[in-house]
Amino acid sequence: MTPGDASQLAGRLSGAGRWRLPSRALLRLRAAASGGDVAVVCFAFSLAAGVLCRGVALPAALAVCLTLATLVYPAGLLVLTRRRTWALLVLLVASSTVVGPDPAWTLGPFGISLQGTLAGAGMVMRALIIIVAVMGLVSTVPIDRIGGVLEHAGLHGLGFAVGVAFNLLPLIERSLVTSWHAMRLRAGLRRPFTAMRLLLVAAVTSSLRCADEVVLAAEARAFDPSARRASRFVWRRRIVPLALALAVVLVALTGMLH
Amino acid sequence: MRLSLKELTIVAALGALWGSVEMTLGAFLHVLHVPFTGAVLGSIGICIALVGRVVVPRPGSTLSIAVVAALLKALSIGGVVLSPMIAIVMEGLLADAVLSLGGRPRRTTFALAGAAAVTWNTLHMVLIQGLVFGAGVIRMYMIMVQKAAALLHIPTASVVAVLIVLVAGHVVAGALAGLVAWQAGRSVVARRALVEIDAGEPS
Repeated sequence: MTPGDASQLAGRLSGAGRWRLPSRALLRLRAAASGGDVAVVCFAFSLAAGVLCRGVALPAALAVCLTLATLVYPAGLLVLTRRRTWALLVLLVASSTVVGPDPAWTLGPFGISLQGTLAGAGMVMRALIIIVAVMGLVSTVPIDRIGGVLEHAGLHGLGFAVGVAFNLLPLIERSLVTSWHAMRLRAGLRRPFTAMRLLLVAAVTSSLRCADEVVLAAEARAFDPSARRASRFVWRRRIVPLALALAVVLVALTGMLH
Repeated sequence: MRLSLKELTIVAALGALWGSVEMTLGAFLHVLHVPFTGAVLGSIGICIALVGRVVVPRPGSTLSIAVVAALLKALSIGGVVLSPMIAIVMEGLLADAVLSLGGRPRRTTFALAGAAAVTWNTLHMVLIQGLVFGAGVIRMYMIMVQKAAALLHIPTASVVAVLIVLVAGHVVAGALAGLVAWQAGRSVVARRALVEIDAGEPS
């Protein structure tokens, strides 16, 4: 999805002029979201809301999370335009209705349970909250920044590894196909178990050869992955008010139960 | 865990290999709705990650390979990739935990690591759906199993037996993947040592 598509979708969702946030504030928020930290905070909030909210709090949580998604990562809402998503959700409600306890009515061989329908609707709302948040995070924050989040969590050098892996993909795929054809032409597939083991060794060896070339090139340029800062994930201080506000909303939503 | 430049690049290359298998063969098998796709892909993937553990014998290397593969899976052209991404990371995590707790690398620990990783696939769907949809979905599955058993006139215990056979099949596939990885990893290390001696740069 291109940034153009995302803004087009956001325009469509905001009612094409019926109601609009001040465009400058919206643009500033979207720019902050692409930095990563705003999107990660909103994602964490949505995940927590989806897991912690129950009963009447769930529709409210869904409304808050969809509003956040519209403002911060509208690309995540694209998942709602897929027919497959809705088919899955309808199937979930239908099966929950049929297998639910104390059926109120019967429809042919099936019993219709109101309790089951409500439980199914709850599941659908939770699923929507989580799916939109995940798709939003993945489509808004660049993959090297997501690698940066993991690096921040202690998996050092992962941002570099993901970058190298991404660039090695076509080379590795080509060598995998070449090894497969070579083995097939030499009738190596007659003994499938041995063939698979040999194919694995060939694929791993050629991948390691590619890795050696990358290491040589990197060492020749005195490259140090731990000194790389450009793609590191940075928490900015201005994120604190947003995180606090969302924490208050979460407490209010979970408190709706009591 | 801090890996050197060389180790990081090896992790990246093997992560890319696992990722490319997931993106090509994985997409193909998912489109064809081949049964036990998770077990097949999990066995191949964990085999690659365990070979990586032989080449980079450091705690966390298997998990790093899995994380790289999972992040590459995010670029897959397929629709929903979140569930496979979580499965890949969990497989790497389980294999790494078993290898780290098992001490010195041995054939047995590799077989156990492979078995633990691939067996995750049997629990994955239920656990992930439980996490996303809530505990209600697991209750729903249990009721469905009971109703299906009643419909087919077979005792519920038979359904449980089928599930046990399914888990046992995954354990065997994973253990085989671990053993193949142990053998293949040693072949790869030997081959690399020969190449380095030929090139006059002993490791």
